[in-house]
Amino acid sequence: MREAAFLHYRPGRGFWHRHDPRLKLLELAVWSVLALAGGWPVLGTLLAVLLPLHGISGSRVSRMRRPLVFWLAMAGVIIIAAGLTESDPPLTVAGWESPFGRPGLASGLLRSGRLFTVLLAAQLLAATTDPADLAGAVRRITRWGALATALSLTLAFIPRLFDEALIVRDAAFSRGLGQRRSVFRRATALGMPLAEAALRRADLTTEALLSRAYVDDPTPPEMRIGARDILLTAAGLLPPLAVAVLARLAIPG
Amino acid sequence: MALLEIRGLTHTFPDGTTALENVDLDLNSGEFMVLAGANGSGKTVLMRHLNGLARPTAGEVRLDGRSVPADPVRARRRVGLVFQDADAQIVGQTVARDAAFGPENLKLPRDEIRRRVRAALEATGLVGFDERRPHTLSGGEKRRLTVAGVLAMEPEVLVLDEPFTGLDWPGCADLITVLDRLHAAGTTILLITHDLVKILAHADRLVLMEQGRIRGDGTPEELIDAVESLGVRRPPGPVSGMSWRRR
Repeated sequence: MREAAFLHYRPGRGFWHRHDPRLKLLELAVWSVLALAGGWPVLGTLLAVLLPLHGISGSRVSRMRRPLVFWLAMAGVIIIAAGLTESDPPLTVAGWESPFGRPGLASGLLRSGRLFTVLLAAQLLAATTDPADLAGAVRRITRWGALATALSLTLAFIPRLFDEALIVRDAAFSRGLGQRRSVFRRATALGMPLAEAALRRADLTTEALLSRAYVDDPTPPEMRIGARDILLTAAGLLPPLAVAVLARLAIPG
Repeated sequence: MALLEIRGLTHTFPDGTTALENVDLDLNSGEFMVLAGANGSGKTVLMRHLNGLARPTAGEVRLDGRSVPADPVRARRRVGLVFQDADAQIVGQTVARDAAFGPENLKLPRDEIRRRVRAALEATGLVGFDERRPHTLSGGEKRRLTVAGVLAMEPEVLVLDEPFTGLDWPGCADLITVLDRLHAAGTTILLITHDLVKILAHADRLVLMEQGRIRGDGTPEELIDAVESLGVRRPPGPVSGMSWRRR
């Protein structure tokens, strides 16, 4: 089966893998709020926390190449759109007055940075938490068994959908699809069989789950919050929270 | 009384196609039954009725005298299905987590889940694979993992649908070793296949299906010469030689 690099669990026994999944969910929520509401100092602090955590936990940011390409494309669109929207004062390059405003470009850059930081935080959680544990944590926090199962299965089946996509693509290309340049033709030739394959896979999986006596509230995973978990959470949350508070205090008025 | 009783079972699809027609069949405790038939003969549809995944259009399926469609959850605890597509059945991110999926659904205590997972992995020769990611396993190992996932629920009946599909000889041989061991320990086995050469020597009973009906029910020796008329290849030689087990 094809390896899914982004938002997919990689088994391990590192300290972040063993960190309590309920606290990981809390950390993701706090990091996301800080990233979406904070400025550059907060984003910088978050990156200073998240990047080493990725390195130490073995989740490997380098595996995020494809999502990073997507992010770069999104970032480009966001920056251009923001630059065009807020065009006063304009950016001047070597005497040429561009249609982009400097405040717009700056705010577009900040928004892209926020998106990137949230992606990093989500990847850290997904890469180090078994979907079954994640589902167990969601069940304990929310009591929404069906939501937890949907979340767990979605994460678990991302690589399978990649596999189906690869099979459909190879089959279509082996029958000459690659020679056709029409994007519409490619989209229909690949999209319909892939949708059918995904639905068929979903049917088979549903039957397999039912045959194994599936319930929404199975035996919960073993979870215990210890001193190490508290320390990790404090180390992950306190620096960006402190910077966010200081940044807020520094704003006059 | 038979462990599983099927009486007058008929299954008609919404488009009007009849998949099963008036099927009568008993499966006795401790038996090793091979159910054979050509593609489209109704074998897989019949399997889906055994633990309540399909509902009969007419007739009934009983487990220990109690209706399966009326209480499918009870049936799913006692009749374990191993599907043809192993990938569709594997849901855990590691071998041990996948084997634990069924017992967790039975809401067993963690210690009991650990015991069952260990026993299932031992029975299927997957000890030491606990932390492996299922998609890195070979085809044969994946198939044994699907068996382990079902065994961890400690079913009385194990039903396998075309378990040798896509497996090379070592994969088949390892699976046959596992099935032999389970049968010797008292597990009732129903194996669906059209590939008799690999397994028939191990079976107590052979049932033949064609176009949704039972066409033969007896010992392998009694029925082996009738299989080709029902679209199943008759392997050459005596029944005792029809095995892909290791020698």
